Amino acid sequence: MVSIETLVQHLVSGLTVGSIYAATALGLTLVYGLLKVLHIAHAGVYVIGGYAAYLAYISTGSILLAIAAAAIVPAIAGIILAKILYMPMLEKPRHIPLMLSIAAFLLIEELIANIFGHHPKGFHIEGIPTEPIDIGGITLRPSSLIVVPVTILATLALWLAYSKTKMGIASQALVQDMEVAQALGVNMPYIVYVNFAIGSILAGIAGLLYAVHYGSISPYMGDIVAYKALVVIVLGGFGSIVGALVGGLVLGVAEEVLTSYLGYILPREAYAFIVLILLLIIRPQGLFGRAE
Amino acid sequence: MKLLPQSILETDSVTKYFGGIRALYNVSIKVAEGSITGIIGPNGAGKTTLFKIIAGFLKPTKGRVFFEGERIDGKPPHEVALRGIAFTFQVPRGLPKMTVIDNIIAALGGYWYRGIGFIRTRTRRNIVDKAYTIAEKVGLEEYTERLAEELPLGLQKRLEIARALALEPKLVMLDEPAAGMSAEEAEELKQLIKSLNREGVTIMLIEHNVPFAVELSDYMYVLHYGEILSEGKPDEVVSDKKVIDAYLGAGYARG
Repeated sequence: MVSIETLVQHLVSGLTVGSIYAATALGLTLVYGLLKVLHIAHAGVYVIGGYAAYLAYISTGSILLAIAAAAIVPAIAGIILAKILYMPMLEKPRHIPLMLSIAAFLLIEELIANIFGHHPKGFHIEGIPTEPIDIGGITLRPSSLIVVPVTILATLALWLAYSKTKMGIASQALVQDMEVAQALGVNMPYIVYVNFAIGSILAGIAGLLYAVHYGSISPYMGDIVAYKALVVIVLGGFGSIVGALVGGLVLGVAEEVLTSYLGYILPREAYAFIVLILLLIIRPQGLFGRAE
Repeated sequence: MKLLPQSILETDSVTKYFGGIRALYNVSIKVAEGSITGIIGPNGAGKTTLFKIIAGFLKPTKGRVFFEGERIDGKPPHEVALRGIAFTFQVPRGLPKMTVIDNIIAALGGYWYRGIGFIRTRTRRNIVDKAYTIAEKVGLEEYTERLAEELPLGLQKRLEIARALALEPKLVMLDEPAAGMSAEEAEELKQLIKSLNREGVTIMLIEHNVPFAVELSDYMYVLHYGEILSEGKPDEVVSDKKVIDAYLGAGYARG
């Protein structure tokens, strides 16, 4: 028998994991919109965010510095990746930057594993209780109360920035037609770097949220994100900000609910792709994508 | 080095190779301020390559480009655009899923694309007013609420011109504006180009359609295999034996 309490519990748990998917997918969707390339190395930026926060936290004990590190270090990493991987490859067929991106991701992972060790590192932030709490019969992990609102607020801020600011309008113009936008006076490289910085900050924060939720970080924490974020942007519709949020949340909830009620007949990841396949049969352009 | 003020745009021995292929060789042209300057030549003569070099999308292999006496070759496209060079594409490339007026509004954004702040309501109102003025200028006032993709080709070309004008350019480069147009549409376009020129916009015209270019241009260049084959007043150029032999064919002078 399915009780309401356990259903809500699964929903919250799914939303929490889904938020992490969404936060990483947002950066991916921005980059895809502009450069039409799958930025796999973004998952590496997410790992960098986790480790930057970890280092800042264990050396200073300050949560604010950890947040700052999770934002600033990935932003710099993202801009460097854009500069060396993507900007010189603008005229090349899109599979070339894609291959470079995969290579960069593996390189980042292995570098981090070599410097900090292959094993996961415990990362507990003081003041955030790890014991589940009980709210009206529903047992929740306290981290959910941080992870989900942070992601939703970040998406709202991003959406606002894209629809109401000069940078956002310029980005939209570049997404529609890069040459026309430049002919209208849009400074393409500048806008691309700003987008990479913003997307990478979100990935870094997602890395920190992962640590908050699971209490540890690992050099390979980006593996799942690398392809889950792809599932999310396909699910949400390529290039759509709201789509990335909703896609991430839907995926997280679907995985959680399906594994809870159907059990592990299939691994969690398999459920993710079943959801993706079913949705694409019904709506090939994704939830918020535009039909061609 | 400062150039004489009468030419707003000048290319100095511009050469462009794509790998081993020579697209342009020692192309030196001058566009007089306030003129309509035509560049004609067969397909593959390098006309569009020259445009792209001027607009900043391509860097010349050799040679220099001056606009208002300052070097612009190698400058990024947005900087060239904001200095006052606008252009239209051969195939209209508006923002197809947006209305005509929104296309022009987007084009006017050139002024506020710089910076990352919020867009003020007053700025937005000014831009909308300006957009309607431009729509009227190019004869699109009845179509402002239509989607760009729904317009017939002739009107899409006008929208391209509207978008170029939104930059308040000093020089507009038109890449085969009459291509694919009916005789009637081409005639209307000719009047539009003339009226823009009378208002002081310098026009540079790339044309495949020789009579169209001859009628509009004050001065003409003939590009052939990437080189300037001939230049001068339109009637001089079309009666130049080299041009007739290489490009126009014997029929042109008689016909």
